[in-house]
Amino acid sequence: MSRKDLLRQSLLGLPLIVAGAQALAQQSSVVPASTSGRTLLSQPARLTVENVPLRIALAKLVERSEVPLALSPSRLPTNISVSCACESLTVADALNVLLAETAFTYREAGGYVLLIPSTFRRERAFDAADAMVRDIAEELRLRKAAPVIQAPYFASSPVPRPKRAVITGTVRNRAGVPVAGALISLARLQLSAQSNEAGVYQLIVPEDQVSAREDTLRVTRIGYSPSTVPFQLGSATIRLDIVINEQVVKLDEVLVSGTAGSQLRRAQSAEVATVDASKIMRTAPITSVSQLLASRVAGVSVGESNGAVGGTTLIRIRGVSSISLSNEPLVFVDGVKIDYRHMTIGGGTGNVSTLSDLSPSDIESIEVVKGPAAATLYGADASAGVIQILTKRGTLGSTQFRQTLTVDAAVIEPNWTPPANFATCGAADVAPTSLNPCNGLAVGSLISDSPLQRGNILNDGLGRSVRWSGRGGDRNYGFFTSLGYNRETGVLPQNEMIQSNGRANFTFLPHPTLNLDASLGLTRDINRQPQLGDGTYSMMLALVGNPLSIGGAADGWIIPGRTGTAISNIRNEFANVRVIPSVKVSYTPQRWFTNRLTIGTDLSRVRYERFLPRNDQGWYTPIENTGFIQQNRYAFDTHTFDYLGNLDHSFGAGQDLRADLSFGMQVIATHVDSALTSGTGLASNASNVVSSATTVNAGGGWSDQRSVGYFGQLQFGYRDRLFTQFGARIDRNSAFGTAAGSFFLPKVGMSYVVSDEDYWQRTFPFINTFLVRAAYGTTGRSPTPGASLRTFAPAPYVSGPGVSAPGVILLSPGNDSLRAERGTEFEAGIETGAGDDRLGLKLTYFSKLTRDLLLQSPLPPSMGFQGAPFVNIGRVVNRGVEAQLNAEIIRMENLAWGARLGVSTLHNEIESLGGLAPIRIGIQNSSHFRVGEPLGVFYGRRVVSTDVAGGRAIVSDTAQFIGNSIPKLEGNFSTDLTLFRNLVVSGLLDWKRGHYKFNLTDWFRERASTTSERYQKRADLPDDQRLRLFGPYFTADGTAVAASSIFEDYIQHASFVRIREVSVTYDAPSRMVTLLRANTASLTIGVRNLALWTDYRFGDPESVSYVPRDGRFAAAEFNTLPQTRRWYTRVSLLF
Amino acid sequence: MKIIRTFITAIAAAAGSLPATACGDFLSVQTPNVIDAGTLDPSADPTVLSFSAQQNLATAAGLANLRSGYVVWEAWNGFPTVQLEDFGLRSVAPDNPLLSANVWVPLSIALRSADVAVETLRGTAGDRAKLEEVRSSLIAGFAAVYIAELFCQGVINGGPPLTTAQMLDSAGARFTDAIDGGRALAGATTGATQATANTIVNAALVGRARAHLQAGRKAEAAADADQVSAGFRFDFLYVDNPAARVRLANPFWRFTFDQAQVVVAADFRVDDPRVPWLAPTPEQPRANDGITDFYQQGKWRSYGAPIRLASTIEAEYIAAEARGTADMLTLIAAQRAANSQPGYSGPTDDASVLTELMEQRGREFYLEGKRLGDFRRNPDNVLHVPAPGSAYFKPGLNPVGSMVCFPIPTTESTTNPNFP
Repeated sequence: MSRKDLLRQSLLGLPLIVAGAQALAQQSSVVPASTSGRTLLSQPARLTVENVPLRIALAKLVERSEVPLALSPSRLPTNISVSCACESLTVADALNVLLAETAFTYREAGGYVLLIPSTFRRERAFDAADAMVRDIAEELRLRKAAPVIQAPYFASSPVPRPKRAVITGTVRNRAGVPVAGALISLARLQLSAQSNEAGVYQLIVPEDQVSAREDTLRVTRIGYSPSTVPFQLGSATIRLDIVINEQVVKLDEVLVSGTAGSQLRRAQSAEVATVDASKIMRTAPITSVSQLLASRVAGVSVGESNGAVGGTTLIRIRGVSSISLSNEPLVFVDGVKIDYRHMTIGGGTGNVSTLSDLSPSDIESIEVVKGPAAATLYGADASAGVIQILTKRGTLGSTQFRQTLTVDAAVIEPNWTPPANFATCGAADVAPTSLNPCNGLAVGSLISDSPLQRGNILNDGLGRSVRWSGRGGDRNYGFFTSLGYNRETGVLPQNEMIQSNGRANFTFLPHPTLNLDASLGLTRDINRQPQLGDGTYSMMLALVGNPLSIGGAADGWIIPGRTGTAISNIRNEFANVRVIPSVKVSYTPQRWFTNRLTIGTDLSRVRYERFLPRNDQGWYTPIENTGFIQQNRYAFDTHTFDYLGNLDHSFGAGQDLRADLSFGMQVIATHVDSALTSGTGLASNASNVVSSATTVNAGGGWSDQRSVGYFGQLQFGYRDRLFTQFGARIDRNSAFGTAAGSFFLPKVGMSYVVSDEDYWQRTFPFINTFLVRAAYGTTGRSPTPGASLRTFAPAPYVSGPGVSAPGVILLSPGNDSLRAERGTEFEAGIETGAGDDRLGLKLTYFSKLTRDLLLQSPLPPSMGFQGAPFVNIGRVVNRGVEAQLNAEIIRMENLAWGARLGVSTLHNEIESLGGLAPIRIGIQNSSHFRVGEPLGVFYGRRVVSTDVAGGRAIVSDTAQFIGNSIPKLEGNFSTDLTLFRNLVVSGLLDWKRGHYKFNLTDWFRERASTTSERYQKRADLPDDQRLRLFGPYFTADGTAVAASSIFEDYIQHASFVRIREVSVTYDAPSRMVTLLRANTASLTIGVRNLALWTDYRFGDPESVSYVPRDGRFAAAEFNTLPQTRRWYTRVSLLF
Repeated sequence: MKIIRTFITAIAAAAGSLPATACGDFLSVQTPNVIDAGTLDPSADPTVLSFSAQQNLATAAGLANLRSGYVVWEAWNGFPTVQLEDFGLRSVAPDNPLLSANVWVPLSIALRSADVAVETLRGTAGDRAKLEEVRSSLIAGFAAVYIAELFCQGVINGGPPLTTAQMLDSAGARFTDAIDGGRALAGATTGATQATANTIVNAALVGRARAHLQAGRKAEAAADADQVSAGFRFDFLYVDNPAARVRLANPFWRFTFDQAQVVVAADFRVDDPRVPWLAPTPEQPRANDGITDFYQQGKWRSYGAPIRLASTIEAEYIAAEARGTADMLTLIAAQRAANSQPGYSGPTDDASVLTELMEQRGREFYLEGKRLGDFRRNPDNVLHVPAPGSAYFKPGLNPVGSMVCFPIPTTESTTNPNFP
């Protein structure tokens, strides 16, 4: 007898049920509802039952979900009652809840969800069951009736009573919105799980650990008050739906960056800011890590260099303090230092940052360690602060797998009308033979032209991206994987960024004492930057063109032949393949002894190409018209080895006093390799490689930098509310040579949660939380490799006709006693929460003194050295106040409104230059470094009066102060409004004040090309104003001064207020989600850079063309592209 | 688990032992992108320092010739840069970055590197080392002359500001070292070394004569000039090396060919073989600024074209100017005849003849960096330099200023503690 016959016989002979089969049979189609292996289980359950028999619950599930179940009811346990608040769960999740206490599991096959004993794990059994169910389906189709079905295989042995416990439910905020990423832990048993994007979690207590007792579940989530839920543990399915409150003061937040020892925020003596990346990404139009950081943390300033897609950004934490070294923070990803540098491409046309390689969607949170007081653990190179990027991890501790698919589309608008060029028609220009627009006009007529607009060069760009991620795990492992593709085209030709990246994070808990974390980040970037800046191939030369050349070779541009077409054909391509593998081992042999070892590498392989095609139109220089190709290759390798050990012990009868002794070492090695080639003379543009060039040029080199640091810290905690820390670190760095001594970095700090004292709540009942903290610490900054050496630079010479030989040129006199720049900082602050923790204020005062300033002291050129040696000299102080006000203004079930205000001030001052004269750098030597003034202030001759009768303006004899280049005040305001649980409106507004920027574009338009409208119409200006603006200029004693030296009018207020982000996110209702066959679905529509208010007169107050790479301060722009506006749509689906 | 524990223990032990065993080695890194001075042995190859210094001056002199040529309107700037216009406007401010980067810094590097070569090679045994020491003195002398003629003040090796006369004296002292050393070497050697030493001596004599003349010591100038051998010429050599064009190529051709920048000034578009020029072509009618008609210089037409530094003909001009009107007229007549010019028919008073000599000298040494010195020495006799207040050749800009020599750039005056 065949298996089918056996099945049919059993079907006809036994009293069984088939749930949902009738409904299926009555469908017009004979095909089951779904033939997909997943779709039935992912249908919404729409089930709510409370304390009903399991059979009833299953029947209701079928009724509500319309998903057919095949099962043997006689084998179902009858003594089990279940509850399930599963309205928003999937059928699979609901079955997890309902069957948790049984020995049944489920499997989807043949258009049914088949309930089978858990013991039927063997593949054969599944195959048999699948075949059986298919047969049943066929039978149903033939009979168009509702049979009863039994799977004979199920009628085997009695079902053993399960003993494990399943704790499940959802985590939501007060407004009813699911909270993803919440950590649900059962501390006593060291079990934990994470909620998924639907807020659902599941924690399984193994049978050997189940005992009937009172227990407590703890729920933590960054940005939310921790919550504890008491419950009765037993071998059952326990449904615990949890509501957690958004928290404005997060003292129990776990940090990984600030200190060794206790990692709770309450124990931090110095400020470590946290950016909840996954929450921000849910609603904000973010495409880069820099945008994630921008305007979200008081004291952290992020500046965009220009409006090109893929352009670099500058990050500053608590201002700038170094004159000659980088003022940018160190960046770590999951404890591994990554290479973060700006690369100039396109012959100075633009800069790209390797930080843009990281996908913001992979980031769980970012911690910002702001200054020396907190950064001691990061060593003698962390004076500018540390950014620790923490990527998403798997759901260790719970059995689940969730996938997210996100699709973005954006329109990028230029958001800018380029100023027109003006010219006055001369006699020849108006002649009938003239080709320019003056033809036929009167002499003296004013004409104008905008080559960018006339040539339709400035156009809307596009952005589109798709990203998939999978997140899951089981009791002792978790994983997160992601794949993404992002492509953006800018508003100028040849501006494009194509990013493909992936990440795989795997967490394995082979034993309760051992946690292994392995991560692999992969990125491939192609970043094409347009021709911008001050080169003679800049697309922005259109802004200094001359309308009189229309019809000629320059055609309204400035250089003959070099029109938009010629420049559009230049390609600058920066491509990066990057791999960041890391392994972190956490080993806890005893509860009082923990060890963490992190080993990781950041490997970047960069290919840079610049291509000027061979042409017959005379676009470029005669040589380059034969074709020019530059192909550079760089390797940037950064290796991190980091060990941290921690011993803790509690003292006293009540164990009130706890001591944490932390110790460790950190080794960082960086290797940079470069191979530079270029060639001219190409036979064909198709063969555009250097080896095809007629004339080839090559170069290359490499360098190493290494540092080793050892640190220790002793922390005392009293009753988990008063903490003191004493720490020290000893560092050595190869930049100073092996003979140099060690660098000692002390640290001391305390924090006190005063509000935990009994008297506090009696005295100040309206202030729920109050913490005071203070810290003092030291860290430093190192120069580039070889900085201490007396050196020559290679410089060839001509040894005879047509022959060159290797020579040298004096480079640096060196400095044997060079040591690291030392930054010491004191900071103190409070964190307080009031009104049921709905209003929070974080206030921090900091004062940082940077001494032994590593200054690349400019030598008098007459000494003959080409470079400037580093010297330790001078002091710079940075002082300021950072305030962060968070408020949960409305917190109702269908309405929530939160707002955040961040403000930071900065007083920056050079206290000493070690007796050196003021340092002047930058355009027209306008950027000064003077004792008693901020770094990089603008100085220049000022117009003191006008002599209208004499037709001259009188200027000061010497350069005088014009303004700061560093903002004195920065702030941001953001708000979120949640309506009806599924509609979130977000906005971010930010501002900077008190600084100036050099508008070199207008300076050039009025001092050289003389094509600005104001200049061409200068005769219309009042005499006094005309003389002030355009001269001629003389000192009071009658000495003529070049007009180019008078730039007061072009150093302009750069203060601004900008609506940075506005977005609306709509979570689709369950019915719509069902249609999409997903668990959740959301749609976000947003805009970035919506509006701007500023007095700055050219384009954009934020764009800078001279990107500081070595601590330069030039806040200037020349022919930059202003920030674009980005309209943005995102669809996100969770399966 | 045991394996894992063992693994962890091993890593921890390795980490713990690292400081004791490997830290020193670990921190010892190479820096191959620069040359550690300790690894360079100039005595092994004395040419490295001296020829490098010579190349420093070759590079610097090319730029100095060009930029000073803009001031005296030998050439017009055809490049759209505000700071370059100031050279033609005779309004170069101390903070003009091109004054520092294009003129002061390269000349300072040339002077100092030559002095360092002399200091290093002095006392080193061997004719080769002596020859390179002498060559370095010659280079240092010319670098000092350039600074003296172009700048209102001079500075040597971070010292105090020096007057033009002091700079000329410094130059003279270096030339004297070259002459004395060269003669001694020529007397003690034969062959190529002797020939080179003699060449250096001749060049140094021209240089010292030039310094004396600029300082007003006409008799000494004439005496030195008279000692220069007939047919002598010392050139800066250049090559077409695409890897190092900024350093090794003829800067005039680079600025003409690559940048369409150097425009022959209107007054020098004359029919004289000493000032060859090319009219604008239909393919390239304008210079890089899109405004100025591109009259190209035709004197140097390749990256490898040499530029004359010192020669017998310069010695003749120096001697004639030093000796007076009669000698000047003789030289004028000879030079006019040699260059297809009609005989001089102008006034023969001292001033007129000097003016004519300056005109002939200006054509002979067109863009060779001598004319600003000529203008400072004989301000009333050097033509074609626009008077203060006259219109610039490009429309719209302010009138021409009155600068006669470059100020010391702020890059020097603000970093040199010897400046007030």
